[in-house]
Amino acid sequence: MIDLLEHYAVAIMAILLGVVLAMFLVLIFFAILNRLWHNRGISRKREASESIQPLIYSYLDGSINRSDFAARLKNKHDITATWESIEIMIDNLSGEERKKLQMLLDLPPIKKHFLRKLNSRKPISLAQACVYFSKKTLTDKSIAVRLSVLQEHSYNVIAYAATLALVNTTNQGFRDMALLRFLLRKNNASMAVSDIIFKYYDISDDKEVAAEKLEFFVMNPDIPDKTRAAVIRMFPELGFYQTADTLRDLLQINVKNDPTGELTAALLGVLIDFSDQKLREIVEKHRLWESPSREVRLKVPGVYADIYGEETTRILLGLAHDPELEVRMAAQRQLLKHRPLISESRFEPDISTEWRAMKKSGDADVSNG
Amino acid sequence: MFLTGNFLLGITVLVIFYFFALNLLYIILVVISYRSIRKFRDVDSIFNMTGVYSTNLYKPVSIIAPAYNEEQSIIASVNALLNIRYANFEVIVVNDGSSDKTLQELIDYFRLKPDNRYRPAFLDHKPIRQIYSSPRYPALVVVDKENGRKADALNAGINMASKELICAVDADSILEPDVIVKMLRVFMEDEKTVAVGGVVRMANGCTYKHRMIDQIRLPKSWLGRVQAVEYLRSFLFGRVGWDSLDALMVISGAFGVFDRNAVIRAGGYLHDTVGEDMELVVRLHKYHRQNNLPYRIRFIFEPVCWTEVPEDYKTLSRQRNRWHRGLADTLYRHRDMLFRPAYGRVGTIAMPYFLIGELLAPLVELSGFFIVALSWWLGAINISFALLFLSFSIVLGMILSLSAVLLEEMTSKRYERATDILILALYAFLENIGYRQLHAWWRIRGLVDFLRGKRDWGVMVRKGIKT
Repeated sequence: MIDLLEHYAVAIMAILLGVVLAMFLVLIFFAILNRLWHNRGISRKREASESIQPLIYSYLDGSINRSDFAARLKNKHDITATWESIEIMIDNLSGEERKKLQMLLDLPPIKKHFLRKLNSRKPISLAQACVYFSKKTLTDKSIAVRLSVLQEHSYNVIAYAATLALVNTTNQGFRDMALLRFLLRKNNASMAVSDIIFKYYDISDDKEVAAEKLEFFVMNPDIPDKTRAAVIRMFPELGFYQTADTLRDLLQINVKNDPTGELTAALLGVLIDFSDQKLREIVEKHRLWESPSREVRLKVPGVYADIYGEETTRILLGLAHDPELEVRMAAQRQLLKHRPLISESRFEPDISTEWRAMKKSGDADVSNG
Repeated sequence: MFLTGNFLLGITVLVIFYFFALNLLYIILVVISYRSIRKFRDVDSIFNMTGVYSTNLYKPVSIIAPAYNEEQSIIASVNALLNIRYANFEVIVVNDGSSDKTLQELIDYFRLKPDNRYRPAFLDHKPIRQIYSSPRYPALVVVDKENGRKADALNAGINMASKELICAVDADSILEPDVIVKMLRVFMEDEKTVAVGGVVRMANGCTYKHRMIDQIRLPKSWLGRVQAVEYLRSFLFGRVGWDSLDALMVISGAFGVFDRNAVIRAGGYLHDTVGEDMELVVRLHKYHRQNNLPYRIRFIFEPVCWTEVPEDYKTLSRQRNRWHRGLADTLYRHRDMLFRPAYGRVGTIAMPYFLIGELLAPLVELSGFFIVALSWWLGAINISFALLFLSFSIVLGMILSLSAVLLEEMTSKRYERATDILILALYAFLENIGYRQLHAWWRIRGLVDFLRGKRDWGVMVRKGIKT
């Protein structure tokens, strides 16, 4: 019996060894094949690029026309090379040359190539299509619809790229809808929101209208607070000083219903940047220095940057004893501006050590200020 | 005799079971890594497209570089850090009580002046002697402090950092020029991210230009080449796989980007451990899980930095000994997380794996050889089976290593020459003969040293990266 078991064990082990040896050889073969395939792809791409580049220049200087150019596009390598060259050139050119390049993007073989990608399931193809449509003047409604569907893609970067394509169109309706749909998403990263907002504003012909639209969006409670906070943080960057009243109203509405404090902190930060004169009233009415949110408490000392007096000192002294070091530092920094000679007896013993250190440094450059 | 034979047979069966279970997990990790790399490769290509995230509205980063006795290379290192392609960053060099001229070199070259800025004490560290800044290089801050080892220096740097994210780097590593942007992509894809690590590659054998990698070549030495395979395996299917399972436990100390507030809340780097990088990551998991905070700790498959690895047995043995002590120390400190579902996959899969499949692996491996030999001598096992099993384990190890080489080939393709790939495949075989057993021995010694309470780093002899 034991001999039989041993026999089977040896046979199974021999088979397993044979299988793994075969796998090893297959893997080696695959590695080499993969490298050869890659090298071939590179050389074909290089050849295509070398033949297309002079053609683009000939087209730009008028030696050949669009249909001549289209006739020279023989395969997908040529189309890719054309797209890659135009993609780089288009942002560096202006006027007539830029328009001519944009017309090349409308060539039927190129458009067909990217339409196919737009309906593909591969993320990379989808993104390529999005970037392609972001470079040309989008007028086709069916493409806009497809792009808006992609705004719900599970890959955040695809949703971002689809939004980018729609925001780059000249159709204001497409742009606004796309932006709203993007902002309504639940899992946008704040950096992506900032990027899209900047681009939306940058290519808006009427900046006033763009500011009003964004003002309107941040009042929308269906947009996640995290996203609204990211949009609001862009306002000083874009110089939206005219939005101070709206932001103050939003702060009043929101201050009691902001469990994370993220939106309140963003609003405080922006209104401080705008040197809003009525901000202090709201802060004191809602006693924001007692907010459970560390981010909110961190902003409060900034409200009192240019407000002096015993009440200010009392609030700042309270914050100078906050459990969070960053809040204490921000408060002590303001105190140093307002009352540098304030008696140390007004600080708890632990905190007075911090206060002495802060004073000694002269608060020239508090690294976390 | 009969009882001994049965006992040895039982142990042999256990060793075989251990071997199959561990390798099954490795195979699962390879498959998961392959899928994950394919996905991330797509996302990465999208980020590289013109016009995507082109506004540079990225989160600001403080790069913290602890330096200890690096007078030869410190200027080149800091210059390389200052030349990183990024919009909003600062470089904080922490001179950790160097006994050579590291500080003086920095003062002279960057024309540093004493800076009286306030130093918030979020994290404990040895006293700071002086802070310096330079009017000519506003992005640079140099902190001169008493020696307290790397973790202590990093804590001092975190206290000085003014940006939202911190990036811990080894001053002697070579960074990829767009490294920060690469790492930031992860933060952009998922807002909950609190830490990101990347692939650390071997700089030995490569050539440089202006302190950047110029040509990527394999090292010439046997030990260097074996480690090249080892690094690929460890990073490309080890960490990528654990990342996909949301159970990453290590971000290399050579390079990692962290959310500064998350690190401060978790308590910063621990001073009295030799595995401070792994310990911090495990503590971040623990902190976020215990406080029910949403978080992700991620790993990207792209090379982010290049570092010199030891090519002599003595230094390598010391390094591996230290790594194993660090692993033992982290697992011991956080033993309350083991097998606890409250800590998610980290507690239920990753930590048990690191305990059984990493910490105890060298013991099982070496005792396995001994027991199989003894069993054969006592006639407890069949010699044909023993030899076939040995061959099988070697070939399976080769396949796993080759899978890592293939993952590299399918992703970054950093080795330009096809011959390098063949050499790596050859060393995937050769590492099983001698090196693997030696490595297991070094790790056993590390475990013994940990049990004896050894805490020092040991001297690391480096040739230095000549740029």
